[in-house]
Amino acid sequence: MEVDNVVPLEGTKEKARTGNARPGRVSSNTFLSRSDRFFGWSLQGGGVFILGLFSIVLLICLIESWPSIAKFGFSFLWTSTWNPAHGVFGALTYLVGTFWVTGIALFISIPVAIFSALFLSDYAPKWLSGIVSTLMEMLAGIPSIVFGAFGITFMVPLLRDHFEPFLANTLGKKWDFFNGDPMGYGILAAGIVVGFMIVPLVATVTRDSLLMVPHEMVEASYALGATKAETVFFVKLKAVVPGMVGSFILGFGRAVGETMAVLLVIGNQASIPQTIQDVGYTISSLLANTFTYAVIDPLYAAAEVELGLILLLITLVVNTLGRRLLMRLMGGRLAGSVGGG
Amino acid sequence: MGNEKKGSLSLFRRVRTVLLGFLTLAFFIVAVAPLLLIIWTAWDKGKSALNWSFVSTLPTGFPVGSQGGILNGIVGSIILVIVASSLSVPAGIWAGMYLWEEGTTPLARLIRLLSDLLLGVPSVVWGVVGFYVFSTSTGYGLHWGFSAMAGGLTLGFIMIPIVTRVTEQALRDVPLTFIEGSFALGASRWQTLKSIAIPSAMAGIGTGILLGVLNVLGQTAPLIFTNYYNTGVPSSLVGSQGAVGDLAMQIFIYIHEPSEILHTKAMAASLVLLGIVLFIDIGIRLMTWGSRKLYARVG
Repeated sequence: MEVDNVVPLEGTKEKARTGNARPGRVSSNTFLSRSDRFFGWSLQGGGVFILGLFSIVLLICLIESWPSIAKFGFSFLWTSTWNPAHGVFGALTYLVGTFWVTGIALFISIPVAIFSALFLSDYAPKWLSGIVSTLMEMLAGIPSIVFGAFGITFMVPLLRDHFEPFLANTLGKKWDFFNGDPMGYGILAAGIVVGFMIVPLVATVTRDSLLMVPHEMVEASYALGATKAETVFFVKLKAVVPGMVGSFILGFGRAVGETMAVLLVIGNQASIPQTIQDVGYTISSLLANTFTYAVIDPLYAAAEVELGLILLLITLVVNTLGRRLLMRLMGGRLAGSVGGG
Repeated sequence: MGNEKKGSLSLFRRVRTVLLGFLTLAFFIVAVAPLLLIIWTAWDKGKSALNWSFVSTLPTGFPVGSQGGILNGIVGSIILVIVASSLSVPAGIWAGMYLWEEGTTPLARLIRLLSDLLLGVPSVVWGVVGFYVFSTSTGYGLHWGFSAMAGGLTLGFIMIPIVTRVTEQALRDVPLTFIEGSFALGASRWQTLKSIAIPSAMAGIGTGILLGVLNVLGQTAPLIFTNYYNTGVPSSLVGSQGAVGDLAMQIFIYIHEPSEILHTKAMAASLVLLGIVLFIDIGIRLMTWGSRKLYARVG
């Protein structure tokens, strides 16, 4: 690339006129040759590409779900009839199922993840921490379908034969909520599997924010006579509450869209779960199971896409929120969470 | 610390200190137990089906797959990864360069936000989008049917934000003095990016691509909408004959069948998929040992 057509004089003038133009850029647009200006423009294409991809996702979900939005309006959200034969659709059953699974998953993963994060950041010796952090991050890379297959062959029999009868005989005696037929399949199995899937995400984000707690704070706590556990639990943990909340939010966003692992163990029955041992259905597993049949009927397909749109909007809101919370903490190093497979 | 004065601590505080410490260890073991349990379960249930012919023959018999192996899945997964990468690697690096070059201008901030949000889009939504863009036979799409191109490019969509984000981060890790030095020597923007920034960031960009491949290999849901499954090896990449097998999809189909043999084969296929995924995963970690923190969270 020739550099002889640079026009420094003009550039200097321009710079004088606009001040330090475009703050935040790696190279400013001033001292530039024509070919470099062209290169700068061509880079914009990369940005436009992302913009285009995002618009395509949003537009397709909006356009394809329009017949359903127009016909059912907001009542789609709180009616539970889902009858393709009569063309009546309501999302409530699947919304409730989705939130059940996500709720159980968060309930299980939050304590596990916080304690593991504390172990990694404060208790494990440094050499061990590196190795076991890697183990945990590898867990995050295991495909959703393998988690599902594991759920079917290991978790479901375990729940059916041991845990669910035990639950019914103890807590179930007092609260009907824990009762039910011990089938193994159901929202409990799905919640546990998804819970374990999001532990690495929540734990690593929490660990990273723990590592950023200023050392002075810890020293001050020790100087006041606190023990190690008191320092870690009452001083450090308190200091990272925003980061922890951010990690829960990211975990929520990840759990809510989880598909294959849930589909294999939830039982796929379109009823609103009454107890923790009931079977259910989530938005993502419904779409994966029935979408290819639904496309024959425009309204049926539109209703399913509208479910997808709801899911998309939930993850967009949740991830924007989580990103904002963590951004302040991590200074832009956050990579977000990848939607489950 | 504070150990010298242990005698003066009340019993309650001493018990609490020890107990909380042990609890962190206990919960950590609970957190990583699934990794070992999953590998053990897959090995325990699948090892009887695992041999050389399992990975080198096509599935046969009735129900299909009760004899033969998973060659269709392995070949299909490779095809899908290649198609996905051929879209997402150039597009992702392009967008990553844009975000690096533009830094913190308002538009770049917006694009960065959108790219991060794309990372979190659920895979069923990608499936729906892929279906209407590539597979549907009516309307505005490309009408490619359930095919490798449709499935692969949908997976490519999923991969783009991953490659973008890691490329940007890798470029940002190149010391600014390198860039300034290059400009000071009179190099143009393009020369600086091509000869200084990109080569210095190559390891990071490679990591991003591998992370994307890792993610794509495990994706099943988008393929249900765009590619489904094929028990053979495809003769073309688009149209009604264009569907390919896929390891993840194969596990899904086998585990759904009420057949003991197929369940064993599904677990054996899980073992193969786990082997590939963990191999890539460990490779990434060895490559980026020093700066592991930067990339860990994308996978």
